Amino acid sequence: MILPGFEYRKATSVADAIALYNDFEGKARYLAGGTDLMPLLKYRLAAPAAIIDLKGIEELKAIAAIDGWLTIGANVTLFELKNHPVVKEYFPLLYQSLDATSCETLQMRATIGGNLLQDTRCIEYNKSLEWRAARGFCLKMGGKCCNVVPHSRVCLSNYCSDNALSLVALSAEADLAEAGGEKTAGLEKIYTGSGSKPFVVEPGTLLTRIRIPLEKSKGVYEKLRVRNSIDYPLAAVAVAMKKSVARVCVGGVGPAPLVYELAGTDEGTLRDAANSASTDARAVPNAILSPAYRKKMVGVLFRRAVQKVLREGA
Amino acid sequence: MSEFHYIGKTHPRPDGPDKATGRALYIHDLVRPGMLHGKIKFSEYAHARIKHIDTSRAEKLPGVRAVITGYNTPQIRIGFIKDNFALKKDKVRQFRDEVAAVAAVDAETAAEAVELIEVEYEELPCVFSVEEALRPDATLIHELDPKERPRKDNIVPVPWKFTAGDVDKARDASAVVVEDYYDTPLILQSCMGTAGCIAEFDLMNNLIIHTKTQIPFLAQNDFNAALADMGLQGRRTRVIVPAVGGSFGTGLDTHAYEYIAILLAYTTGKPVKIVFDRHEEFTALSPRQSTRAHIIQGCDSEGRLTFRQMRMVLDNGAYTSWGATTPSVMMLPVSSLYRVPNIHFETTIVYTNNTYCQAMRGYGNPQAAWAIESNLDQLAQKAGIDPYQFRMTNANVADETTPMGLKITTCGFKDCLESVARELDWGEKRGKGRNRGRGVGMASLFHVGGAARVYRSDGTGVIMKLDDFGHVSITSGAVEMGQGFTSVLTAATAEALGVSPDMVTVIIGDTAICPWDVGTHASRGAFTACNAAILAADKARQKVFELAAEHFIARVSAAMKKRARKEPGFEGPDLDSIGTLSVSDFDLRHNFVFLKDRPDDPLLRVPLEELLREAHYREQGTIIVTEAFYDPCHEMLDPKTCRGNISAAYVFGVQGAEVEVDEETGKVTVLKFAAAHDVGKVLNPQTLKGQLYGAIVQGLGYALCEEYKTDRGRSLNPNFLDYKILAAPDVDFPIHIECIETDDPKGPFGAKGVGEPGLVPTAPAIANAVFDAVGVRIKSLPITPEKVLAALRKRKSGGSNVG
Repeated sequence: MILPGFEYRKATSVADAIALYNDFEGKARYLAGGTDLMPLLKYRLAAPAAIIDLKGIEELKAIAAIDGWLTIGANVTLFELKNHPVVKEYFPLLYQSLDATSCETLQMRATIGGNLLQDTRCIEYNKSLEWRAARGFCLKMGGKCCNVVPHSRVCLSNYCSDNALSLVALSAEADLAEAGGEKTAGLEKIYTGSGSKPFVVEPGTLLTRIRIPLEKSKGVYEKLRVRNSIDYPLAAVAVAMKKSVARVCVGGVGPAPLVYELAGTDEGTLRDAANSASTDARAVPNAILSPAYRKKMVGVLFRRAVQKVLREGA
Repeated sequence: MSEFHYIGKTHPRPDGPDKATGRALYIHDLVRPGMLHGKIKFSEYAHARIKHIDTSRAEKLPGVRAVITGYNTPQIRIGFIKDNFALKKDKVRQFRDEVAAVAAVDAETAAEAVELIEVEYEELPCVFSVEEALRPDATLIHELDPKERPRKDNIVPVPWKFTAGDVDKARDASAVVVEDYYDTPLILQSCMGTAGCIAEFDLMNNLIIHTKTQIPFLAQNDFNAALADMGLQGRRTRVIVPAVGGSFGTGLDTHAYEYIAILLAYTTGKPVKIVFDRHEEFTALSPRQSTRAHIIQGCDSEGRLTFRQMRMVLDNGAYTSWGATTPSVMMLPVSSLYRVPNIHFETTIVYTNNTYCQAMRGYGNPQAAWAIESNLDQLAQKAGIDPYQFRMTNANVADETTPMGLKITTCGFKDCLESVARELDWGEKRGKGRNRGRGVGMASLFHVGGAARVYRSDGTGVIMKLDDFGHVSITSGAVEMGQGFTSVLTAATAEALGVSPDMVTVIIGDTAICPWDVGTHASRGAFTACNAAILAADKARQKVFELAAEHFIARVSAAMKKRARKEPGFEGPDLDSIGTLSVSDFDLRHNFVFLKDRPDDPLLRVPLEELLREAHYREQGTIIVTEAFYDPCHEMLDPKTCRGNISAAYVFGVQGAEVEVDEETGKVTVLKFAAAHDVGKVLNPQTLKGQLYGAIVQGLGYALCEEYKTDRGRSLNPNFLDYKILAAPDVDFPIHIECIETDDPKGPFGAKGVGEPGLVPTAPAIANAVFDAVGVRIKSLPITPEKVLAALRKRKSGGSNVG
């Protein structure tokens, strides 16, 4: 498939990137690793006038463990992050989700910033222009109705970042740079819950860093997929255990991850929590597996992940 | 020949380095001077009348050189029964129907122009399932047959029926009978190299087409017919095949895009290239048919099979391809896998508004094997017999003629069964892992192994040329599509002629140069071409020995004199005592001609190249060129009775797996895979194992995760993210392969064809292992976690799911 035409600009600093974005009056897309953006361009799901390349911004390539936080620049590749000694030592959960992301070749290209801000996916959305035009445009393409759930007014396309789930479970925060300055938000706060526009950030905002409280944790990432070699999650559960508190994040189903704090880890509590996570999961027929199965698997993976953490945490 | 020098030894593939480093020229890489880029406008409906096509906006786009439709070009009939047109006029019958096409100066402009073509449709009622299509009041997909006579139903007029013995009587007499339905999904061949071609005309209006095909000569016929349809009677086609990135059956037919490129090239007077992108490869090529098999089998109280009855319904899609003949190959295992005296087999092939289907590796055999081999385990279980023992009891043996008239020459079936049972530790593991969700299962296969007479000729020609540096070129009409054809033809030529493989060059892929070949299909490439190479090599050796009879003594004598000058005191053998030599006194090995009865004398030999030069560089000189056309000794099927020995040899194989089933998620994990194939003789162990590994992984995809999903005729997963082929990291379990050598008398060096068989029994082997592991039988492919979980739930709630 052929890329559409666009202007290409390479930003040298965060301020430069935002200024370029404004120069193109918002008709621009940021490019980091490109593993999410390129297919969107080829499918004409994005048609920006300009691509602003962030790869040259050196300050976003650093990983630093200081002042009680692990600070990760948005340009750090998944592969680099996966192999960072602090990640392995402090956040086994993050290591697992990074390792479960796509395949190593793509991990070497994809950045953590791009992974978190990847677009939501739907079997009726991630298709060529001809396919979508013949089918009729859906909510996420600016159409009037959902092609998966007729009459639905909200888009339930799936947010497929593996690493968002670990980072949310690890209470990570996101640094966001806008024209007016920087702000910080809990990662779980950046989601709108609507697949049409999955992130609360204003256009032109740049995710610059992710920060994780530097405390050792136990963790397990359980991911439902057809092939272990490369697939996006069809449902996934991340559990981070610090002291005896388990923070669980469920994703891969619907446009935003859901977070659960486990009050206890006895069997009854766990069963109830897993069941309610399964109930909460808004699975619709927008992926390669049936909604009923994905919903059921949320409960299974939830219980398995927590049990595994408890076993390993002993 | 009892001892081989090159056959059976690993040789690197001659095409390997260029392909691995990106030097090989695939259709995507080819550029012709002045070349334009073609792009096709496909239908937006599964079934609709074309009311109007407006091409005016596309024509005005700068850079566009031609816009064609069915209305402004000659109609070219295509398809196995000629029920299709290259460009559709009046009606579309599937989403991929070609309604218009553009040639432009670059691919971007062509793509833009296609979007500017406006087509007005009137939607028609659609049929997307065979059940709907077979209803008496169903919408007709084709109102007229290819001869323009009105049609009454949606049944493709290619019926297949085979009967032997008396199935009803046998059924009544059987001690145990089992009956079930088995379904298979559409799946895609998934070639890494997408389809494409470049068509161009010379100034005499002869066509040259570079195209990805498995049938250069049948394609040449098809294209010549198209030239006649275009008013170019008597013009010629030259088909040139570039490097092919996998074909798996997609190249068995000519395709609408090829004719469209031809029409565009003729219209513009320029070479026109059409290459599919991945989306088009998924949506505009033909997958393997989905099928539903109704099968009944029975056995006596000893476990001997008494009868087999199978009715197979195929969803053909909107038009026919050679895929409509796949039942002729389904018939092979139905009639001849195990010894079954009473057989009934019939098929119904049905038109629907789904994408039309084509053959894929295995040619119908995987669908048939899925039903037979799954059902066989059900039968064994009901009879209370271990499925391995059950198979041993019924296994075919050598020198036997099956009810279909297939003459089995060599047969390594029982060895294959034993090999797989041994590798899987069958006795220890079968039926003993259910508490851990573990199980073992196996399944068998039967296929043609000595080519197949599906066309009037099953022949293949080669030309062998010896040049005066001792190099050998062998020219063949077959196609290298990644299977390793050039490597085995190199080894076979070297072996048969007596030269080293590095002296051999294989030339393929040009109908103007290469001798005729029916096509690289039916696992026939190595079998036929190597047999032809042996014939041509025999002729060449004869000619070499004629030269030797004339020049050998003189050359040896000259060499000895030369040596004597350098080494005073050197004394060679007494040449006078040798006497007159005749053709039959010589042999040729490792590039040297020597005396048969004095093979070890280093002085009594002459390099082949020296003899060739001696013959060439003199007055009225000569060089050696030989040819051979090999057409196996077998028969066409009798169209009425479906009997006939269609292949010169047959292959058997058994595959088995140990699996673990996660009872909470339903996921099936393969722990170990074992395969044993009767290959006749291993020609090149490396390429053979490569073919089998690849086929097994393709078969595992069919078993576990591949499914071309559609929603009302529209492809739902036309990309490699949503269409799940297994990748290398998914194969994280050992695959054990044993090749059983049965040394077939008809095979080249004893070899039989093995290109397809590796994926035939894979899916039922997995299903049988899943049954052993958790006691549920999955009857529709792929065996997804969801289906396993649903079956487990049904079993727990008391539903019947007895295998």
